[in-house]
Amino acid sequence: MEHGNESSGCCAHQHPSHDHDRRTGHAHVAGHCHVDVRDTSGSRLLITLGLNLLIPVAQVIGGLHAHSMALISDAAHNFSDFTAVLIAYVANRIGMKGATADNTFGYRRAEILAAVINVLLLLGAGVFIIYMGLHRLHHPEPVLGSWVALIAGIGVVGNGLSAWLLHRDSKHNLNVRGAFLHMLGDLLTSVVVLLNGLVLMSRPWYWLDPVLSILIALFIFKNCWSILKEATRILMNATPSTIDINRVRDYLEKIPGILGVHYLHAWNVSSASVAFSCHLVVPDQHLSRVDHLSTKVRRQLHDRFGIDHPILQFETAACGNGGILCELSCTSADNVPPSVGGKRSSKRTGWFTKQPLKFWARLLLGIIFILASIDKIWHPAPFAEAVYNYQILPDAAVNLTAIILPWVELVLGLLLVSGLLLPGAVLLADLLLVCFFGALIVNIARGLDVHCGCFITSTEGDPATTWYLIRDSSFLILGGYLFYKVLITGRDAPNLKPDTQAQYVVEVND
Amino acid sequence: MSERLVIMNGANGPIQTGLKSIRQAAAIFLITTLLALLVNALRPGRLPWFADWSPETRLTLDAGENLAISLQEAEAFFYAEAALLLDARSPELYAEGHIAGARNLPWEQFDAYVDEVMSKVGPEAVIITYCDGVSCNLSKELSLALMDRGYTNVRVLVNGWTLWQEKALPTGTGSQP
Repeated sequence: MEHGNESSGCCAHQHPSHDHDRRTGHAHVAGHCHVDVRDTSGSRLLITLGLNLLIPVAQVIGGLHAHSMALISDAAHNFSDFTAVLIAYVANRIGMKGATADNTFGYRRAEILAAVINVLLLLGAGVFIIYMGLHRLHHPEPVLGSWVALIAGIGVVGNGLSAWLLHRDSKHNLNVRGAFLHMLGDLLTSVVVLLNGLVLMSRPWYWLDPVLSILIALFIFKNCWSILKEATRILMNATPSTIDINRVRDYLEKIPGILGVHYLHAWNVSSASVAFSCHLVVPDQHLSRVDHLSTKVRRQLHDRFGIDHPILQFETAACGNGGILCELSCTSADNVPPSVGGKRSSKRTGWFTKQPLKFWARLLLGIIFILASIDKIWHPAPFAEAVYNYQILPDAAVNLTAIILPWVELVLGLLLVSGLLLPGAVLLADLLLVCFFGALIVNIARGLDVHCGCFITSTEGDPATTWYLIRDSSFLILGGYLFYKVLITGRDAPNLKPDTQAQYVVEVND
Repeated sequence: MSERLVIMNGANGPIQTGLKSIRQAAAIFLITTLLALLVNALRPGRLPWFADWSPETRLTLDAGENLAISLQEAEAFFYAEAALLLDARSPELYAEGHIAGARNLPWEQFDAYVDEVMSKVGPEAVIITYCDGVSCNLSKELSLALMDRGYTNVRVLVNGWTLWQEKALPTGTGSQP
């Protein structure tokens, strides 16, 4: 039962405003039909489109006249919004086309693409602003404050109007939300530029102009982030944030007449529509009797969980069609195979919650590696000298070592800090530490002072050498501890309990 | 009777972890090597992959003049008493043994020693610096510093101390030349 398709909506009346803030800004309504207000927002978008073409033109003219960096960047920003609103509008209209044979879910995903393109445009504008701002900081120019204030004032009025127009529809339509956030950002930036202009009328603080434009850009980046995250989740067919799939399963299994539920999937078709599929195990019965159960399940899924596109498959066999995932879900109650589990397996092995000592150890070692590598990457020639002074490697290997080794250290440091590829990173890091320590020992033994590359014949304890010994051995101890923890007793994914590793239980019949 | 064989998929076995870590380490190393070589090729201050680290090359100035002096030449200067020999190592090492007649001008305490040691030395005087070890660059640094001060005839005897001793040429001990 497709809701959300304007031409066949189950209700024909308009709701004054949708209160959607149950879980997220665009969670879906429960308890009453979703009415598509996209038609209204379409015309609103058109109005803002027009405004957003006029305002930047005015800003560019004013900005050039007043030598104001902030005005010009605001203009660039606004113009990118013109294109953004245009895209939003087009995506809106595309999304209103219904399902076709080629696109059985309709075109509603177009709005996600629109949101992503919106964000990319904003990012581009932001980068441009920052670049120009930095340039201006180095080459300051006087700014005519009064002009800036005037033009910015116009911008405030215009953007405020646009933002207000889009505000109502932004809460349940990701596409419009993207455009709305643009407008909001515009409004804020215009206000800031206005203040900037007012200040510059009385004081010659010309650096204020580029500084503000850079801050504006950073603010824009921040706004982009949440939109990008949400759009990515939808594009990845991730489980909608409003759905806890385990709860859905638990609820369904409690319905009388249903013996089991497995192979659950849930995803957003668009920001306002949730699709869901599962296998329901029922006792063998006439199919007509299942209809009643089916209607009930659909209704419950819609009312309780906001799922408007459910696909239910009824089965009688204890484990569905015998596919491997069905097997796993039947053999162990604890087992959470990927298609059922709501667990988000963390890529970060033991990030802070488990094994804090190991976490801090790898963080510390990682930071040490990163810090050690930076100067060597920045100044390879002195490092090459140092490598040569160690007199351990053949001359031909000195430069290559000086080029490659610091980068290996940097990458290892980053891997250790982030916890990625931990077994390999720990192994390689320990190998390096052993080599460094070994090199130090060798040179102490033969009396070589690596700083000058010259031999010290006296055997008195050189304080610098002692310090290096202590330092390198502590690193080695740190590395050894991590080696033990990660490679000897470690697990690949500590979030899973050991006996829920994918085990294949094979029944062997004599 | 049926038996259930529980086959672990082996992701956690020690051998598997070891193999996995070796694979990962190799991958990290290879990719980082490529990255490092790429960045090096593109950066302005790039390092050549193979450089001549021989003492002769390291002692050749940008102008092409080679600071190195051979043992024979140094010996000749020594016996003719035509050159001032400078030991660039620390006073402690100098006291333990130095070329006979050489003065101590430790590179690491250059400013403290230079005025006193070079007080009566003219700018055209032949000066030979040395230290210990093929890779030792104290003598080279000292020579460069002296040249900065206007001495035009400064040379470096690479691995001077060891070579001198090997040839059983005259040496001295103590803090005086």
